[in-house]
Amino acid sequence: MEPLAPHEKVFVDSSFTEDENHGKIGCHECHGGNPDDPDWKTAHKGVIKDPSFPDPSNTCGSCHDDIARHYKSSLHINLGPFKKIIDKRSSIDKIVHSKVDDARKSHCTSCHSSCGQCHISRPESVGGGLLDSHIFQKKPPMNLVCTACHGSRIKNEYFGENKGLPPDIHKEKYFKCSNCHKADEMHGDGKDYANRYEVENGPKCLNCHANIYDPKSSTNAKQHILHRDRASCQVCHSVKYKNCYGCHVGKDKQGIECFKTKRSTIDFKIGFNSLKSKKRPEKFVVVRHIPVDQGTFAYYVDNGLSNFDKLPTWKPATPHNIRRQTPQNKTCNSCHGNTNLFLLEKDVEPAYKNANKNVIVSPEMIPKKINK
Amino acid sequence: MKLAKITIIISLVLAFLFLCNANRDVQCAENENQCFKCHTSAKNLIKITREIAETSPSKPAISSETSGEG
Repeated sequence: MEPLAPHEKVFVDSSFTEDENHGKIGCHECHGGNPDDPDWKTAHKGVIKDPSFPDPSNTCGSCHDDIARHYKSSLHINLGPFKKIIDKRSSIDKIVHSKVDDARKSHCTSCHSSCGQCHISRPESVGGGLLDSHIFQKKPPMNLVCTACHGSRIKNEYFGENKGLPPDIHKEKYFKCSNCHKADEMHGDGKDYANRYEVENGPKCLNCHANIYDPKSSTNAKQHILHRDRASCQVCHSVKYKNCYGCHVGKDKQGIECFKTKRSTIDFKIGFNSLKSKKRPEKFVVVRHIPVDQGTFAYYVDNGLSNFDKLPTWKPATPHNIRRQTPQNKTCNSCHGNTNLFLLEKDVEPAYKNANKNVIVSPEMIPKKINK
Repeated sequence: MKLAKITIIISLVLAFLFLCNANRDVQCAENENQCFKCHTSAKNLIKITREIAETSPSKPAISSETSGEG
């Protein structure tokens, strides 16, 4: 993503006024400030950079009420699951918990987005700056918005930028994020979801690949029927993806928030589904190591995540590097009996074993080799 | 013949009015709104952003101590 010069970040294209809706609204009506004042210093008094955050009700919502009224439940705005997950791992001691909460707000929640930070500007967490000189973008540009934030994992997987690994087949078919991730998923629907997989309007492979269980139209229908509810689509159709370890957050000498991760690896592991539900009933899923660590918030408070083991560090994942043919689906026994593919106890760091006890696959639980 | 002339003149007047109207919004905004006047001028913005950078150098958005992938 090309960086923007400071003046480019705030340059407005005069053709913006040709937008028959947004172009007719005075700048100050959304951003405040004094449009009559020729002195930029005083004119900017009270200016709001992003009038759509945190509450877009009086700006975007004045016309787009059907969308904006659910803003509180948009995961891009509230990052709700972060709080739920960190709270679950956090100490129940009120003082300790409040310090963890402050650290979460400073570090994790700073990566939010908003109506404006998708449709008008780049997200603040990646430096901000107007997308197309304030011309509203009905569909946010993928490279400047979506993968600007979802970079190290999704972008690298999708574009095939992990060394030696192919891009996602959907990328090769010129799919943008918005082909699968529709506006209804992004904007929230008023429900307070525990995680992104629960979101009602989230993408489902079956939305497009509806006939995979139909022997008349799918040559692999038998395999799909056999593995239905046993393995997620990614178990057969993903390739290796990124796993990150040991994120520690804090502040540098200048007081700027920073983070350090111990390492990241490219790997592929199948584990038990820790988020099993009616919507996601699969026994086996692809699991990704997330960068959380018992000492993630140690800069702020000792033993802040004293209930660390309540959640796994290997979490169900949907890597964005789907291929029709993968090393594990070449033959039945590419996967069956292949201990390298499964998350075994030996793959888990000793400190994380208890946290991952429900995800680790014991050798006897690995599907047996098939003798034809 | 006379009718044709009148039609041409009316058409030209209407076309002129249409073109004036298309630029009206831009002109109004330029004349009345200092925000618009300044933010549509790259020259002005370069001057001001340089002035800001000299008087109050901003902190880098990303710490140099950040390392690894998030």
